[in-house]
Amino acid sequence: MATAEIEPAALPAAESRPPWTAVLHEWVVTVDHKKIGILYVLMAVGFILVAGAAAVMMRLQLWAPNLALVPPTTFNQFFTLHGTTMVFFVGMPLLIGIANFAVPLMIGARDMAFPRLNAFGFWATLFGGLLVYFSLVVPGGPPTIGWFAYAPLTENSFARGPGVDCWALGLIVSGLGTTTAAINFIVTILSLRCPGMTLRKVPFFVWVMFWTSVQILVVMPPLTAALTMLEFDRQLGAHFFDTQAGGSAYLWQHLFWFFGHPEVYILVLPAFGMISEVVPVFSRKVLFGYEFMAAATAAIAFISLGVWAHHMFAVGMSRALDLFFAAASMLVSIPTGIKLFNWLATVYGGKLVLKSPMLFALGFLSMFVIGGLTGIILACAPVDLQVTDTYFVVGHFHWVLIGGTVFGIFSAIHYWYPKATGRMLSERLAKWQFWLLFLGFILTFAPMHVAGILGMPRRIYTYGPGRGWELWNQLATLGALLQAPSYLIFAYNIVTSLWKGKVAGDDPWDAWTLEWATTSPPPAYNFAVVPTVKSRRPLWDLKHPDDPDWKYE
Amino acid sequence: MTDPGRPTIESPKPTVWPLVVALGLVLAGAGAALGTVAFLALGGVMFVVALWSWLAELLPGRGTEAEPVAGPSPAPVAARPGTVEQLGPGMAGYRMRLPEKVYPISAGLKGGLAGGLAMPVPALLWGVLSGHGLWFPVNLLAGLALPGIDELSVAELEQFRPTLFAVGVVIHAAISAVVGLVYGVLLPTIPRSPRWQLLVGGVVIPLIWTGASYGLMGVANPVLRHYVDWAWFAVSQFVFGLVAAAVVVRSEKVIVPPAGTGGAAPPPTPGEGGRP
Amino acid sequence: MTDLSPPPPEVLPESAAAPPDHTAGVEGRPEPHKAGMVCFLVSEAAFFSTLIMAYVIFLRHGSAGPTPDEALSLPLVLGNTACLLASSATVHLAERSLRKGNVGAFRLLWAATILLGVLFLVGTAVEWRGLIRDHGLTIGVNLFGTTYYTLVGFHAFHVTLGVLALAAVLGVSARGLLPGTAPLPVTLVGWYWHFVDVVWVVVFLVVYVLGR
Repeated sequence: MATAEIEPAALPAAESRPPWTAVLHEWVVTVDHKKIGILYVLMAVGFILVAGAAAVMMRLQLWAPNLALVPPTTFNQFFTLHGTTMVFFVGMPLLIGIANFAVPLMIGARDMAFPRLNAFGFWATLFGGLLVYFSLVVPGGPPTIGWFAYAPLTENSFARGPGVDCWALGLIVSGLGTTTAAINFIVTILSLRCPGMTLRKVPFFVWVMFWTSVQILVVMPPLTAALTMLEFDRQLGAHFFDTQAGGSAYLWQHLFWFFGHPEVYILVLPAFGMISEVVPVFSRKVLFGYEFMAAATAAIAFISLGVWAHHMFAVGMSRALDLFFAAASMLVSIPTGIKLFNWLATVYGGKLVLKSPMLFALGFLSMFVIGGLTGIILACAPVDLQVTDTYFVVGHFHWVLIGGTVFGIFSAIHYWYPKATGRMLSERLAKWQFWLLFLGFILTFAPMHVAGILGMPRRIYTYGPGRGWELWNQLATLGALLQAPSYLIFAYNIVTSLWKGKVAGDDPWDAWTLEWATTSPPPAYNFAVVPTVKSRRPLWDLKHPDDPDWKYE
Repeated sequence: MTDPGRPTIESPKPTVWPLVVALGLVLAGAGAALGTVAFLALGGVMFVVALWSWLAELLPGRGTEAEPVAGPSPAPVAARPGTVEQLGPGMAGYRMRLPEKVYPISAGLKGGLAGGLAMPVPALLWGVLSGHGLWFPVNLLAGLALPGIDELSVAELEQFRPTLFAVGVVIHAAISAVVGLVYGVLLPTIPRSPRWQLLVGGVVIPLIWTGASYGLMGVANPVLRHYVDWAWFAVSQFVFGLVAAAVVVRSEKVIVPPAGTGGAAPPPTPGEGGRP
Repeated sequence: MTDLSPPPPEVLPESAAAPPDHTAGVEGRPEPHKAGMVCFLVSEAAFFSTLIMAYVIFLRHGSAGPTPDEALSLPLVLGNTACLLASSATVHLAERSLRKGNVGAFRLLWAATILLGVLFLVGTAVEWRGLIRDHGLTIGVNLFGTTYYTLVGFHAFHVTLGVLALAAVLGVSARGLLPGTAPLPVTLVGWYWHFVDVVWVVVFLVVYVLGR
C-alpha cells in the first residue's frame, strides 16, 4: 500500500528491496488484516519467550526443597507476569492474530469490516502488554497478585507500589483492543462473506471465531468494569473490594471468574476451529458432522457463561450454588465430547498425511482429552475441595492450554505459514519442535497432578524436604528444560524459513478453502475478483467437478 | 494517482491514527498509575487529536485509495476429475463404517420385550427355589430406584408390595427395551453368520453385563447386591440375551440409504467414502 | 438495510454518498456499521450490567455515612430524567425530519437533543454538588458513595460522549457533508443516544426508585 508509487513490475524479488525504514513504516501504519494478523503473532512470539523464561526460572527454583535461586517476592512476580502474559498477551493475540489473517481470506473478503479499528485492536493489545511490563521499572516492581488478582491483595494496603495499577490499566487498554477485535470479527463474518457463502457454508474455523467473538463481547466488558472498580479503589479511595471498609473480596472473585472461565473457552474454541481445518485436509476427508460441530460450538459458548463459580467451590458458597456450578461445568463435556468424536470420525478411514500441521493436530486430539477429563474431575465439588489450589489444578489447566490451545495454534501456524509468507516451514525443525514439545509437555505437567494429589499447594516459592514432592518437582523441571528448546526451534524456524524455506505455491496442502485460491502471500486486496462459492469446500468443487460438494450439502 | 487504464480496487489507506489513539490511552494509563500528570495530559491530548484525525478519515473519499491490481495472479485451480476414491464394499475400513443392511428399530424393541418376558422365568424360579417366594426378586429390583428398601426386613421383602411391584415392572420393561434396542443396532455389525450374532447377543454381552453388575451393584443397588445369587443372576441374563438376540436375528433386514443423499434412492456405488 | 449497500469493487466512487468501503457488498447482508454499532452496544450493556449488579449487591451494606434514603432527592432527578427522555424523542423526530428531506428541522431538533443532553449533565453536576456539600457523600465515604458515583458517573460519562458525538454530527451536517436522507452517522449516533437513555431508565429505577 505504501509502495503503491513504486512500479510493481520493477519489483522482481529481493534485488530492489525498499530500505528497512520504509518497510517498518509500512508495517506500523498498515490497516491490512494480513499484516495486522502477522503483527499479532510476532508480538505473541516475543511475549511467549519472556513469559516462558519466567516459567523456566520458577521450575528451577522448585527443583529441590529450600532452594534460594529466586527470592519469594520475585517468584510471586514471576507467576503473576507468567499467567497474565500467557493468557492476555500470548494466547489471545495468537488466536486473534491467526484469525485476523485467515478469516477474511476464508470468507472471500478483501479485509476486515473495520480495518482501522483492527489496527487499533492490535496496538492497544501490544501497548497494554507493554504497560503491564512497564511495572518492571516502577517502584516496588511488578504486582505479586497472580493472574486472577484476588482482592484484597490488590488493594492499597497490600500492594503499595504502582505495579498493580500498571497491571490493571494495561489489561483495561488491551481489553478494549480485544473487544474491538471481537466486534470486527462478528461484523466481518456477518456482513462480508462472499456471494453464495451462507452461514451454513462458512469454513468451520470462521464459525468458531464468530462464537468466540460473541463470548469476548459478553465477558470482556465485565472484566473492564471490575478492573475499573479496582482502579477506583486504588486511585480514588472507593471501597469495592476493600474488605476493611465493607467491600467484598467475594465480589471480585465472581466478577473475575465470570470473565475468567469463559476466557478459557475463548482460548480453546479457536484452537478447535483450527483443528477442524487441519484435520480434514490432512485426512483427505470432509469434516465429519459439520452441523453438529457448529451446534456444539454454540452450546459451549452459551454453557460457558454459566460455569464460572466452579473456581470458587472452596470459598464456601451455598450448597445450591455448588451443585449448580458443578452440574453446569460437567454439561460442557457433552458438546466437547461431540466435537472430539467428530474429529476422530474425520480421521477414521482417511488417508493421513503426517505433515507438521497434522502432527500438532493429532497432539491436540490426544492431549486435550486428558485435560478435559481432569477438568471433569475438578468439576466435582467434593473432589475440587481436596485439590483446590494445588498443583493438580496447575497440571490440569496447563494440560488444556498447552495440550489444547498451544498445539492447535502450532498446527495452524504450520498450516497457514506458507500462505502468509509464500515459503514452507522446515519439516525437519517442525518435527523436532513437535516431539520436544510433546514429550517435554507431558513430562512437565503429568507429575504436577501427582504432586497436587500429594498436597503440594500452588504458588509456593519453595517447600520443605520429606513430603514426597521432590521427585515430582524434579521431573517437572526436567520436562520444562526439555520443552524450552522447542519454542526456540519454533522461533528460529519461522524466521529462517522466510528466505531458506521452499517456495510454497498457492496451494501447498491441496486444501479446499478460499484462502488457497489466491497467491501466497496474497495481494493487499486478497482477491482480484471476489469469488462466488456453492459449498463449504469451494476448491474441492473446482478440483473435482465430477463429484462436487454442493450436490450433498 | 494511477493509470486510468489499469484496474484498481478501492482500499483503506494506511494510517497511523489508530496507533496513536492506543498510545495515547496507554500513556494516560501510565500517567494514572504513576500519578504523573504530564503523562496523563500528554496521553489525553494524543488520544483526542488522534481520534479526531481518525474520524476525519471516515468522511467520504478521505480514507481510501485506489489499490492497483498488480503482481502475479493465482494459478487457476486444476480440475482432476475421477480422482475421488469412494469407500465401497470390500475395501478396508468400509465394513466398520456402516452396515449395508440393518435391522429395523422395531426388531430391537421386539427382541427386548421378548427377552424381558423370558427373563423373569429363571428369576422367579430362583425366588421360589431359594424359599424367599415369588415377590422377593421383584422387590429387590425396585431397590434400584426406590430409597429405603434396605430398611425392610427379609420377611417384608418376601411379601407382595404394590408400589415395589409397579416400580420393578417399569424398571424391568425400560431396561429390557433399551438393551433390546442396543441389540438391534449392535448385532448387524457382528461379522459373518447369525450364529455369531447369537453368540455375542446370548453369551458375550450377558457375561459383560453380569460382570459389570457384579462390580457396580454395590453402588447402584446395595440391597440386591446383598441378597443376590450370582449364578441365578447370570442365568437370567443368558435367557434374556438368547431370546432377545434370537428375535432380533430372525427379523428381516432393511437397506438404509447412506447419509448425505437426503434419503433418496441409494447411489449406484454403495460406498460414501469421501463424502459426509 | 437497503439505504447504503456498498458499491461493487471495481467502481471507484467519487460521489460523497458512497461509504469508504473496500469490500464487495452482498445483497441481504447486514450493513457493517450498523452491525458494528449493535455489537458495541451489546458490550456496553454487559459493562453497565456489571456496574448495576455491584450497586445492587452493596445496597444497604453501608456502615457509616449517608444512605440513599437520606441523600437522594427526587425532584431534581425527575427533571434530569425528563430531559433525557425528551432528548430521545427529539433525536427520533430529527431522524424522521431528515428522512422526509427537511434538513432545517433535522438540525434544529438535533441541536435540541444536544441542549437536553447538556441540561442533563448540568443537572447531574448540581445534584453531585449538593450531595458532596450538604450530605458529605464522596466516593470514599462509604459503599453507597463508591457504587453510586461509579454507576451514575459512568452513565454521565457516556452522556458526555454522546453529546460530543451529536455535536460532531451536527458540525458535519452544517458543512454539508451528510448527504442522503438517512446517513449512517445520524442513524448510529441516534442508536447510541437511545441506548444511553435506556440505561438511564434502568439506573433511575434501580438507584432512585427501588433502591431508596
